[in-house]
Amino acid sequence: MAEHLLDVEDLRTYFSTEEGVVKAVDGVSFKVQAGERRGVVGESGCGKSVTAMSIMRLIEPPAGEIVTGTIQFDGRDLLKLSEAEMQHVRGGEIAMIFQDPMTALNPVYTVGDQLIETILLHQDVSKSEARDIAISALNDVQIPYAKNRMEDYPHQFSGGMRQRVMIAMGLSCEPKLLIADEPTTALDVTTQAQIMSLMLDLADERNTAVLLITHDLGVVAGFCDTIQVMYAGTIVERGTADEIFHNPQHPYTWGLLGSMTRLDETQQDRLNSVRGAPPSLINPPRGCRFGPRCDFATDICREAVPILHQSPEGQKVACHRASELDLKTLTVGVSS
Amino acid sequence: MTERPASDELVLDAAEGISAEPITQWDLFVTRLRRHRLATIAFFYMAFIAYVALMAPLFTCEKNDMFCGRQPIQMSALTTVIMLVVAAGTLYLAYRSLRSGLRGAGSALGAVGIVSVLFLISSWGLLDIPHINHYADQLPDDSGRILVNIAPRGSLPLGTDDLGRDVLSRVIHGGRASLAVGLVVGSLVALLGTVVGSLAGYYPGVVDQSLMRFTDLMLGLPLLPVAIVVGRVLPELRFLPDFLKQGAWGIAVLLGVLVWGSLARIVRAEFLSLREKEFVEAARAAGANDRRIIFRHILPNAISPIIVQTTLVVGTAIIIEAALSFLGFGVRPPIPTWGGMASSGAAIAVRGFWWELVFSAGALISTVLAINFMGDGLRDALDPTQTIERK
Amino acid sequence: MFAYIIRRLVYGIVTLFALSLVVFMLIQFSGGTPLDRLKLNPRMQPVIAQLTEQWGLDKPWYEQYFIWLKNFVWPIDVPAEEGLTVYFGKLGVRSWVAIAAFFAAVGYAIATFFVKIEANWWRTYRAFSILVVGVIAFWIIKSRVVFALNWGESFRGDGAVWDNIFGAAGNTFRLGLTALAIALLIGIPLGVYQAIRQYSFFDQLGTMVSFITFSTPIFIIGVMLQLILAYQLERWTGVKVFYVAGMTSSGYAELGRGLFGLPSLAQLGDVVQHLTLPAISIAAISMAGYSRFQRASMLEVMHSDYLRTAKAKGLPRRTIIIKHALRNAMIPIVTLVSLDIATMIGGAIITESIFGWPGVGRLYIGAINAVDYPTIMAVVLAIGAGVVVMNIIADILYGVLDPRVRYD
Repeated sequence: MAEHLLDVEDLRTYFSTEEGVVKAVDGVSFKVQAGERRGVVGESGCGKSVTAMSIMRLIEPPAGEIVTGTIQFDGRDLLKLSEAEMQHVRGGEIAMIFQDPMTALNPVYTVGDQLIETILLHQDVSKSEARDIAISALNDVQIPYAKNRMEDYPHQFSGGMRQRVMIAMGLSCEPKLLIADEPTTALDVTTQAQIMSLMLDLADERNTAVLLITHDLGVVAGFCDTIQVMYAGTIVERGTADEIFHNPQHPYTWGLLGSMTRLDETQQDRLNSVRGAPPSLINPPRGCRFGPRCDFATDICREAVPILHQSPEGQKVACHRASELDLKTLTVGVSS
Repeated sequence: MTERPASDELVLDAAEGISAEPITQWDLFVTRLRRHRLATIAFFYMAFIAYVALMAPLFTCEKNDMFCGRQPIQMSALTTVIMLVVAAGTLYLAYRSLRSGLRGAGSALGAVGIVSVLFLISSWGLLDIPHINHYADQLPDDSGRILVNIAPRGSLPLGTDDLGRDVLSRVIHGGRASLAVGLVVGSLVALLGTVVGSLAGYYPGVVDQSLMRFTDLMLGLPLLPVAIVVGRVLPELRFLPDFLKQGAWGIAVLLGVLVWGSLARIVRAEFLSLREKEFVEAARAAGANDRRIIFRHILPNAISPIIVQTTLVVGTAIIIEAALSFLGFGVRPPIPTWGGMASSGAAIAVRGFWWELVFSAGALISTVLAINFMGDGLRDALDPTQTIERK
Repeated sequence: MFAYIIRRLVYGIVTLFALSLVVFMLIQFSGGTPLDRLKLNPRMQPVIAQLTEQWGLDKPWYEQYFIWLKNFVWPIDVPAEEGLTVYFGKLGVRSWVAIAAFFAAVGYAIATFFVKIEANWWRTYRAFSILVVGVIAFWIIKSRVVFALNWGESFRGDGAVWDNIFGAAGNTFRLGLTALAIALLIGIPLGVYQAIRQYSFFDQLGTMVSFITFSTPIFIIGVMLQLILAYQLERWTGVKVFYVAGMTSSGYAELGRGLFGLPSLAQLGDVVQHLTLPAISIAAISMAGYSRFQRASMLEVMHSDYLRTAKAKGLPRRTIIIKHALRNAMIPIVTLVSLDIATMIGGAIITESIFGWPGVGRLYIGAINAVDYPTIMAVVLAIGAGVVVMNIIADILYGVLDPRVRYD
């Protein structure tokens, strides 16, 4: 049996556009264990969704292409599989749920139909058995009157309930890995909390690994064992939740954490934000990509690209000055 | 600690590859439009046709005109072509200069004006430029016999029809009818559709309901049967002023009045959704009255579907006018129109005389095609949120 | 939904009223009368006087309109024929059966609305029951088994307007249906395939052809088909493949009889030979519109979120396209077709003129030229009513196909 469930090595996914080649994911490597809950955080456009889509091989040529890299899943390199074999993996071994539950389900088929379709595809059962599995899946995600609701259409469900249906669909075939791409972003805060705790319980029960992609640090804090922070197509820091939240090593992570409003802080006049805007992915800055926005950047940061290395504090970080800076003692915004 | 840079803009510059140059809406629009090759060609073609059609009376000779008589007939083809090329070139240059915004438009109009003056002068006979035959003249040959059904050759580049009339001249003059229809219908539809649609979309309740019932009524009328009836009786309606009964103007007004419904619906839908947007609330909070909100805030955002739908409707109207003329209920002879020429051309085509039918049909199809391409290009250029298509 | 349909019918009737009034007034104000041609001949004076009196042409226009309206919509007595009876008082068994059937159908259709099942098959069934009501109503009116409408006598001496129209309508219906079938069967797959193979040569070629066809007037297509596929083809091959005039050849009756009074195979073949070119003319332009529209609709569906979900579930490509994409992409076509019916009718008018097809269009043109009031009014209203009904049918169909639709 393989050591890690998922082993991504030097993944690069590029998109060809009129203005040039967009290097959305540029050298991303990470490993996920069975049953682990990994959070992937970053701003819009940092490449976290593209990474997930690349793992599922949902990137469509000719617009986008996985240029290089390997994705080892359960012993096999996903990038070397045929399309038919990959279809087997999708939904059956790796399930993915998306951001907007309002549009994720086909409006002209009942929820039951869509669930049964998935089950029949990946499991060798009869139609009535599949129906039973579907009903029990709906029960698991706490949809009341599951049996009757099977005959309902997606538009008869609220946003939160549709997302539950999506989770049910994703977990119905007992996948080893669940990729959730911003699953609660489109929902209100209360529903968010419900969905996250539901996912927590279900993943625990079945020992399903979860790759949770989000830009919301609050969501990640309550849910994930380990967190990796992405910026401009690369991973800049990776560690346990404790390490990241209490002792960030990378200035970007430090900036992100500082920009959160927290109940335990004294009131300030203004919110701190990481100044500037994300760089162009067609023509990324030389050296460290975060350099232009970094309060601590020096000459070396503008020359050489930092590599993800082990920091003595426990997590991995990609910053030239990580060992010099003691970020946890600094208050964000008072750098000059 | 490093010093904080003065402004975020500099930070962006330092990050390479990001431009800080301001781009205006007009620039964006023109860039996207020019990228659409077919639309650019179509636009140029339409401008050319429109110009030729407009100037046609100035370089058509009346029968027995001493200036026509002075030139040997074989001159007209070659020099007509030269003149048209000059006009085309000028228009093309004018089009290029449109890129620089309003200033460019000014110089474009200036260039067009100069060429027009040249034509005017020539029509007084002061400049010796070639003419084309009058569209109703039955051309005689040297011995006095009428040149009936002559195939295209030399001085008659498109041949003559069943009555010995110059097909080239008839095609050019026929264009005037079609373009008049296009212009009038376009204006009427844009006006009526926008007014009705915006009022219905902006004021809910009674106004909306009654306006939309009326629009539904107009949309419920079967277009061609009603147009045929009106077209048939138009010349005989006693209470109409003369200019509406002659030529294409009456038909144009008729069609314009019948087809604005689809645009009204679209404009109403746009207004319904735009009305709820925050910028309207902001404008109202700043004290703008209804009229100002409609014209200065909402309308500019709804321009795109208005323009696109109007172009589509204009193309359809030109075809319908041609159909009416084909059936005999449109523009009456002897005023030439492409539809009417297609009708008489079809009758003689069986005997092998193909030119009248082919050239009138070709003119018709190419004009409507150009309008449709323009509409397509305008839609792509005005609506950046569309599904991206590589050209 | 029932209230919605009733409302649409009422709007439709109002529209038809307005239409009849407008058309009537237009013809009146033009001063054209059906007797214009007769007036050229001075010896026809007494005939002119008699006809003027008979047709009420000397009365003021509103009175003429009212007379016409009364005759048009008020049922009259019809001479009793075999099976035909007159209304209210002398109704026979057949009529009562018809009336009973009608109300039974209406009751049943209303009843289906009280059963709230949210399923595809139930909505289809409900829609079907509504259509059954419509069909029964149409048959009752047409067969004149309960009452009869009098649409007057044609001013050209052609006979009863009613008979003329129904005879011609049948022919136009055949032509139109064939054209619609061709346009849908070719246009939709073309559009779908273009969307699947976006940017390919086929896609770009198809788009170009659509554009050109769409910009061509229908009479040009008709004339060109006549010249090339009929005349030229005959000249090259010596065989008359397609006919250009009429619906049947002169020797039609001699082509034999088929089973149960239906046309024989040879007779059908003859009609097909006459039908092909006009049907293609009408179909061509609609086809261009359908394929373009279907392409856009399919593209939109293909970029939708639920298709991405389907792919992430591991469904094979073919299933995704046929089961998920197509089912959604076909829905908007229904609206398009209903809007297109009016255009097709216009196209039929022109095409029937070119090809001499004995349909409503040709009838109409003849009536216009002769200022035959009753026929003109009847045809315009029949066309208007047809458009209203088609729109309602399209709305019903839309409600069946898309579960999200709610009618308030």
